[in-house]
Formats: sequence, structure tokens, C-alpha cells
Amino acid sequence: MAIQYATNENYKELISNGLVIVDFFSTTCVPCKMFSVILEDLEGELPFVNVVKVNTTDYPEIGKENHIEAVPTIMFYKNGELLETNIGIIEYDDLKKKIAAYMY
Amino acid sequence: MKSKVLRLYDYKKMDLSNYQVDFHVDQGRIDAESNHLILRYPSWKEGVEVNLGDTVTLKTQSKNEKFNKESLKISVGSFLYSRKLEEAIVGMRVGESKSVTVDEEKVTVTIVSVTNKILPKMTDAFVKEFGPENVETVEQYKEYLKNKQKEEILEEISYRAERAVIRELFSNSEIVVAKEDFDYCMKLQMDRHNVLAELEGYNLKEMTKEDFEGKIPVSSYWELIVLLQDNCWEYLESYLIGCYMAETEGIVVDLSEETYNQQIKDYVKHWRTDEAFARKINTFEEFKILQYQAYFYETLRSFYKNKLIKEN
Repeated sequence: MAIQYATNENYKELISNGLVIVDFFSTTCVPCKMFSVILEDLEGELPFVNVVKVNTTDYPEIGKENHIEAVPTIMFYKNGELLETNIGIIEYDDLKKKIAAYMY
Repeated sequence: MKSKVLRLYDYKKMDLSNYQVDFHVDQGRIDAESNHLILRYPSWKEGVEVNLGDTVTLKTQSKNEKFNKESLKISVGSFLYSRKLEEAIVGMRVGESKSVTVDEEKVTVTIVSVTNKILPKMTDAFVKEFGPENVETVEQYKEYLKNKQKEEILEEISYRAERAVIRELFSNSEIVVAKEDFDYCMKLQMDRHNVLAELEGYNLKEMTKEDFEGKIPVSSYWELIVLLQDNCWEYLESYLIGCYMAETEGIVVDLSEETYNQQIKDYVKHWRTDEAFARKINTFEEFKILQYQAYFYETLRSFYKNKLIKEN
């Protein structure tokens, strides 16, 4: 897997299989950078968890479709179905607990 | 502007020992951060035997649905699935099966595949690829982490020192301030506040205590005037001293339209606003003042930052 970046064309496909964490971010937002580091740490420990990042500045259409009003907004999808939306950073240990709850 | 600095107090002679702090490197933090970098960039290789940290695909069989999975991927040692099961499979090999009691349920676990986690070594090549920008060797990385600790301490202690230097500088320098220049600076600040108030649907003059709450620490328009007048002294004097410093040191402060336009672009991107609004609130006139102020504060910072930390 690894961290993948969404575009208007591939977004729906990227969230359609398995558990997917979607990170809606913007490049100038400081909390987004902090969450980005958390996602990189996650990749080092749980490489099989799918992470999709959406740059809302470059792809405002995806942000609009998903009613994103603040960044970072984190969504959890399982096989294309939205399970949870979280506005703001999720700390590393809390993120892992959510993954465990949704994955197992 | 008619205002000008006649004589600048020699702030470099200021004794800052009262603001100085002892700095001891936190070696534990340096080790932890280095270890963190290594953990973040492992490589993965198909393997045979299960170790802590590996990604393993299991088949589990049990009467309990939760533990009855054809293909289950776990990170061994993250304990997200089951601590007992994860501990029990360490040392098992691909194809092996074992019975484990988990949550009072008997579970038969079979190892389907193993991907071993291989941690990189902290070498110059690793640091160059995965470390911070412009850091190319392990030694440089350690120095970078040490400086980061220093910067954090400086961030905490520098405000008091900076205010002391500014107080001393303003009260001991000879600065002539023309009323029209003071009024001009007040107007710039009032214009900015009016634009912001309009954006939020307010008339600045009519704003109440409740309207100001959480926005500006004042309870009326007149209190705001007093606050801005108070701020205006530093606003104007820091600009004048910035101009004086740049002139006497032969520094050309960047006042180009190109830099201004770039700042407008950054503002639009950061605040998600339109360019017309960005230009209305960040006028070119104010940009020129802010560039000299920035030069002033940067010059002071470069003076006091090396005097505040006493290395042991």
C-alpha cells in the first residue's frame, strides 16, 4: 500500500477497497503537517493500512463533495462505506485504536 | 516620512546575563528522535519466521466468529488484534499451526505468510535520504537535533529579553517623531481593522463588548483606539530604526513588487481568500513598513540569541 495521493480521477477507486484512512489537508496548515508525521509513523508500523491524502487546495472539488470545511479532516472508509469523520488531529495511539476497532 | 532616528543607542553593549539560561543537551531525546527516524523508514522482506514488528498474514479457526478468519493481517507486537495471540506466534514459521486460548476461546492459528521488518542503520546515506533538509551526515543530524533543543529553549526565554532590549533601545535613542507620521501609521492600522470588521459584518465604531470578545482584547471602539495608539509607537519606531540600521549597515531591504506579490499569493493561499481582499488588507504601503520592521526584529534577534544560552 503506502500513502497515496488522490486526484479527481482516482479518489473513488482509492477509497473503495478495505479500510482506508483519508486525510484532507492543505499545505499551509500546521496541524496538517503534524498529522502528516503521524501518518508517516503509522506507515512504518502498520504498512498494510491504506492511507489516502487529499490536498484540498489542489483538488477543491473532492473537498466540496465531502463537505470539508476545515483541515485536517480525517475520514475512515471500509470498502467504500464512510464509517467516521473526524475534524482535527488524531493522536497516534488513538489512531491505532480506531484502526483496530474498524479492522478487526 | 519626516520622522527620523538622530542617534541609535548601542544596544550591543547591553548586559543580558539576567536573561541567560544554562543549556544541557538532552542526550536521551537525541537518541529517541534518532530511533524514531529509523522506525519510520523500515524496509520489508518476505520471510519465514515471525518476529516482533513483522507483518504477518494468519488463518484463524475458532467457534467464535471474531477469531475465525481465512486471511487476517496483523502487525506483531502492535497488540491491536490480541496481545496474547501476537505474543504466542513469535518464533513460529510459515505453515506452522498452534492452539492459543484468547479471551477464553480456543483459537487455532496458522501462519500463512511473514513479511519481516528490517530496520535501517543510521548511516550518512540514510540521514541524507530520510533526514531533515540540508542534513547529510549522522554528525550533522546530531548537531541538528541539538540545535533544535536550543531553539526550543530560546523560543521560551527570548520574549522577555527582546522586550528588555527594545525598551532600552527606544528610551535611550534619539528619535524625532512627526505627528503626521504617527497619524499615518494609525490610519494604516485603523484601515486594516475596518476591513476586518467589515468582513465579519461589523461597523467598527459600533462594535460592543460582546462583538469584540475573542477577537481583540478591548471592550469598546475607544479602548481599541487607545490600544492602537499604544502599539503605534513601537510600530513607527521599529520601522524608523529598521530604516536607520539598514542605511548605516548598507543593507538593501527587499521592497520589490515581486516580493509583495508573492506575499499576497501566500496570504490568499493561507487564508483561503481572494486576491482583491488580500491586497485591500495588505497594502503595498504597509508592506514597505513591515519589511523594515522585520529587518529590525531580525537584527535584534541575531544579537541576543547567542547571548541567552550558556552551553555546558
